Amino acid sequence: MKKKIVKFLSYIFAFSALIITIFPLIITIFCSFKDNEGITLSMFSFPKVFHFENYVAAIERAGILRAVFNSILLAVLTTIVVEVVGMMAAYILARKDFKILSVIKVLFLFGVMVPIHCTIIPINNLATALNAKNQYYFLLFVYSAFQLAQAVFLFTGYLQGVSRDLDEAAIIDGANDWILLFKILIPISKPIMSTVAVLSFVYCYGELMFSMTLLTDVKKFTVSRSMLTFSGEELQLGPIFACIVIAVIPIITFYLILHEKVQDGMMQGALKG
Amino acid sequence: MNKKKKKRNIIVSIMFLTPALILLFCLIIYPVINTVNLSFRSWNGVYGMPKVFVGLKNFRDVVTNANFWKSLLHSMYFLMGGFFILMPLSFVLALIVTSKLKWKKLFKTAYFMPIMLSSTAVALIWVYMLNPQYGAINKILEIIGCGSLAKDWLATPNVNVWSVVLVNEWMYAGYNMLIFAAGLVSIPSDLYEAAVIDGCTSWKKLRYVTLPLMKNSFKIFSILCVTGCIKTFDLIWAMTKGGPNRSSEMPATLIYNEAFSFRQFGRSSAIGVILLIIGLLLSVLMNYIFRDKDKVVKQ
Amino acid sequence: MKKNKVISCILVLVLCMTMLFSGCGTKEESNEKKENSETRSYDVENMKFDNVKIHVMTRITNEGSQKYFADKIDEFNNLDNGITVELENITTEEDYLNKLRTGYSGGDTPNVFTEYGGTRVKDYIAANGVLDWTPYLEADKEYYDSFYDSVFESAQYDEYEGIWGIPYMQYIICLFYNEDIFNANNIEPPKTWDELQVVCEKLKAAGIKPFQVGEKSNFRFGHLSNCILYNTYGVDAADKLSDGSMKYDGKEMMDVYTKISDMNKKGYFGDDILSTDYALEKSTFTSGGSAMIWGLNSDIMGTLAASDVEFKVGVTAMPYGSESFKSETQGGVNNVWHVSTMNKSQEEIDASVYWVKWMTSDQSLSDYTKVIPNIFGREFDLDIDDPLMEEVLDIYGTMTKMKSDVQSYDDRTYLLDTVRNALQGIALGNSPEQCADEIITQIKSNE
Repeated sequence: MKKKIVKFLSYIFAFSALIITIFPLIITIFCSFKDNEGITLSMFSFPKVFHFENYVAAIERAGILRAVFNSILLAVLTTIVVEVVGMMAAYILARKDFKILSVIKVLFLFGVMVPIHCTIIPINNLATALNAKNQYYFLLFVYSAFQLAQAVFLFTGYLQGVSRDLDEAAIIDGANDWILLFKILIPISKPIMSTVAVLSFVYCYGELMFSMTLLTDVKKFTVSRSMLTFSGEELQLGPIFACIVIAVIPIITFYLILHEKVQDGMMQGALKG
Repeated sequence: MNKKKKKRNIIVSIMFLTPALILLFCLIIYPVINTVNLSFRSWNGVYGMPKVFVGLKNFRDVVTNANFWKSLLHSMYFLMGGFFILMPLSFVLALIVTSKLKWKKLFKTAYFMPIMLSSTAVALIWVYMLNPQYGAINKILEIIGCGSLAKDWLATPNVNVWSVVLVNEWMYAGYNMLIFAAGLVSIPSDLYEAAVIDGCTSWKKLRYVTLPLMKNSFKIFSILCVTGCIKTFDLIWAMTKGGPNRSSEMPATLIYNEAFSFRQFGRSSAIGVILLIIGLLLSVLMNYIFRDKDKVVKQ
Repeated sequence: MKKNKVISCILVLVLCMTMLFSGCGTKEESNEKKENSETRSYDVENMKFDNVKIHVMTRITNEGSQKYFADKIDEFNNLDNGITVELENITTEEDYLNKLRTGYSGGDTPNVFTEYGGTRVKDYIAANGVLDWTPYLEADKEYYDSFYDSVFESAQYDEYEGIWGIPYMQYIICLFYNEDIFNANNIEPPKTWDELQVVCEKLKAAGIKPFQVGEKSNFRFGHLSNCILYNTYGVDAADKLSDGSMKYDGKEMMDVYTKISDMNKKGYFGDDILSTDYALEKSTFTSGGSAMIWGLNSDIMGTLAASDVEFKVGVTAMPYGSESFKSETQGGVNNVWHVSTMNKSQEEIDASVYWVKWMTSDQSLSDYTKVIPNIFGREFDLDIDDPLMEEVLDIYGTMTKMKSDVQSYDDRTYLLDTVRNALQGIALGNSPEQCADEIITQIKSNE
């Protein structure tokens, strides 16, 4: 009896949480088909007339499709760099015993704390000196650096929790550091790697401040930067919501395809560890 | 033999660490050094203009500024929201998606969606949801008969910060759910079976088996939460711009405003430096708390 | 393979370092170039350009103008004159100013940018970062003389002799009203501040919102306070406030705060004004939801052009507070083209000048007028068939003195934001005294 009540309550909770998360998303989709009046007068009614011109505006005026492509490219590359470079650094920090490593660990911890706005001007100057404005490689490095500090911190913590017996067994089997890291430790670290991947992907996909500062070429704009086209002193709600929908579709598709992998990745830990 | 091994270890260490360190030094440490240097100077932010050394004046200005303390208080709201709302909420969601309920895949996918939207989009949606005239929230309150609770959510001091805090929790609940779910799944099921044999109720199972074994998840959560809360900028900037009448300033919006609207780059840097120190202290503290428990468990 | 990655990373670092140092070298070079340019020609129309690329940064907010600029730039780039223009348009004010400032802090600015004049540009001039147009204008007298007499004031500063930009557009803040609502309720457009109160009361009694102010955009009360100050105490008040002979808690300013606060308390400004932004305010007006709106002629008319308005719009001067200052109000030049000289080659500067002159040519300006009627810095025969614009021009003609934002004449650049933030407090229910107090506290802490 008591179990049933608990179960019932969990269902109620689960469904209300579901509604709370989904509701704004549905409204966004509705709004993307409405004009200003439709949105301001009845935000959450089903659109009476479908204003597809919002999507036309999003695609033609803001170039949102290209921006989505650019953002995905940047986000994927950043995620890869963060994972590989971060794991390599974390492996050393967690597994080797040089004294200097504890200093380096603090440096990475330090990196996690840095407020972005303190760094804009020096980074902008660096980009100028390198002639790297409008260059994705530089943006990629900037994004990676900011995500890396956190990633290294999380990876190191996780690897420290993985028993060293595993390493020793592998070393006896003749594994060197490369094999140990890439063949043994990385597969075990899937949960934390998925956590970091999601975080860095989402950060890069929506980042505005640096893309604003470092990009001037319309063709290279990222999603958030392109969306700014519609936020000025004129009310253009429909196109903005259309931009959001277009920007979200690819990630949700990605997610639906990969979500088993991502989530199972994040949850997998125990089975092996 | 041992020497050779040590030498190899050094080479491997350097090789593995170099890429990360280059990124860290060029793009984070160098700007921070720049910031620290600027925090002792007065500069209007134009290339070629003198950066005059003023000693601790910037720090004095910041510490005597009421807005700075208010912004720290707002950070505290974010922290409190993180630990008292986000943490339990994500934990319960994690329990749901790892339980034996039907449709849990659907739940899992849905809960995870908000984080996919990016903060710009989330802010935009919620600004319109919270609009007092046509926003959904006030309308819903009216429909369920709580019309008197309707407010101008983003323009009432204090209420507006909490509104943004809640939106923040809405956005990140699903993400943190996965962190906790990872911890939950990693608990070997034989432990639960043993607990049931010992006659534990579900509550006791949760309290004495689940929670202690999820220390690592809580650690990850705490670190992400603390660092995130101190640096919060995107959501509050997109939703209130620190206003109205500066009633929702965060430390990060102050840094931005001092530099880019008031052209006090020195003062802005000073806030940055103070924030860095606070952040470092907090994370060292957290590390200490969690590490201590670690040792206890091992012993 | 992995080793290659490490090696390439190291290479990048080395590259970074060398670039950093070489960067320092080029800066000195460009300074040298500037010095031996005494006897050169300023006749940009007859210069040959060879593949010069210039970066133009603008803040164009309405759709019509955005399209006009994009088309114009396409046209220019197809002229095959050796100059290619890259246009970067940033619609949000903070982002625009932030990017410009970041550029100037690192010495990598756009070639051409717009500003609304005022003290902000002074910093850039002090760092030798803005072009003095004087020789170019002297070389083309005809062009120089085609500007209105007073407009160059917006590009001149007492401390720095020279003409630091080309005044592109002028504005005046007027009161636009819904003529249908006014007629239906037998209301005449208000001329004085007191009449405005009566009108508001009548409208409110008829269940119509007099205004729906978008004070979330905090320049709304900012502009209102400027207008009240100017047409009650004269535009000289701006100078007096900046030299200290008038105070932010003096009786004049207190009067301004009180007037705004009174209207706010009576509910004339609409509902939830702190959650309404300017965009929404305009859309409320154009959809008939409010009876009046004050604003820049270019702004409001841009919005009117972009929306289907189903009523007749009328316009009148901002209601004045004192008979003796009724022909003074907020207005003037709000868009000045500045050419950057910071680390720019002479060829780039000349090309920038060429482009600005092309954008302000008769042809370009009359093309613009076809999209949105505007008052430009240059005086030329506008071919206007818009009755509303004619009325605006009439009002503009009756004004004898106009100035921009009060705080833009003040060297204390933080004041603009400070005052606007404090005025926002009035919408929160702060008293005029609290408002004054907030500004004074900020001034003291910055001393």
